[in-house]
Amino acid sequence: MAFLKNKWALATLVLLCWAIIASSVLGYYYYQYTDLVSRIGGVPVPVNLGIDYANGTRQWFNGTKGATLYDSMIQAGWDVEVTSFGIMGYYVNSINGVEESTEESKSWGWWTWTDYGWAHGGSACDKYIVSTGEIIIWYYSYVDPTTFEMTPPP
Amino acid sequence: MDYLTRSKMNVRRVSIVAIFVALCVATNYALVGVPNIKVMDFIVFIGGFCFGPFIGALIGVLSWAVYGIINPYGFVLQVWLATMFSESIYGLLGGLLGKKFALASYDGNRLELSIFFGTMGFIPTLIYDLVTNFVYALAFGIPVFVAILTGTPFTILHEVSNVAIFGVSTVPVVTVLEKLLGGERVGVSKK
Repeated sequence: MAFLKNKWALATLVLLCWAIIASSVLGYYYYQYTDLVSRIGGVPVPVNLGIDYANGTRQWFNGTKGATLYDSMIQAGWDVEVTSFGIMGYYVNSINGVEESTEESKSWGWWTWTDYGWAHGGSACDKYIVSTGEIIIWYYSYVDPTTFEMTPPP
Repeated sequence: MDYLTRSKMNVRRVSIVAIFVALCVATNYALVGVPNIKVMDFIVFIGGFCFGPFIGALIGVLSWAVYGIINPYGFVLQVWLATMFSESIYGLLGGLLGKKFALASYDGNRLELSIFFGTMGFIPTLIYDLVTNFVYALAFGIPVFVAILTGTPFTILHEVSNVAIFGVSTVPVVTVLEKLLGGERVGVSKK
């Protein structure tokens, strides 16, 4: 009965129950989401897709449809070469014949337009589910060899 | 006759087990239209709390032994065995807590006791649902994690309802049973 006098012990028990329920709900919805995506393969939506070769050439493919960013790139008719890293997704080696260069420290990265300017994409292009009307650009960026920071598109 | 009164399973106790099992089966049928909300778990727990872990576990096993065979949702041998033995967890836990609380007074601790018994309703329910989902998955050849995840809404309903039932009802029901049966908690009267 002394146990009942300890409010922290009771609070811990209640929190433990809550944590188990919350984790179960999380697992359930994650499973439902992945199951749905794997069954319907995603819903293609139109996006504004651009490519900048960092040599003054920038092309836009507005209204390109795709469920993921990679889908959109293929739908836009781009020639994309990738290396698969399993569940991590695709790493883009070259687009339309322009390959990444270790000598020049340049590689492909994708950026999405926000109210504050270009924001670097946080995931592999085949894992990123695009939103309707989203503005995304692939930029052949210079990568700082020490910090690995990519130069954003102008 | 002397043997019967000294034995762990004297006539009084056999009658109590029979009454509790009948209550479990009857309430399960009464709530058959409400999936996973059952008073049965609480009755088994109370049986263990008042009459010890052995009687509690026995009530759990026998309740499912009867209800499982005439279960309107169907009969699957593996699931039936799993539910029978998982249900006994409520009786065992009730029995262990009954020993712990045998000489305790409930006065002045009602809120703390309600919270405590609520969580004590949650823990065996979680174990029960995990075990039965695991056996269900094996019986029907589906991946265990899929069975557990897809069963989550039912599991949560079961857990939350048991938290409410155990939390609200344990203290009043034990108090009333003590008055009716003369304070027979694990054979120890606190009076």
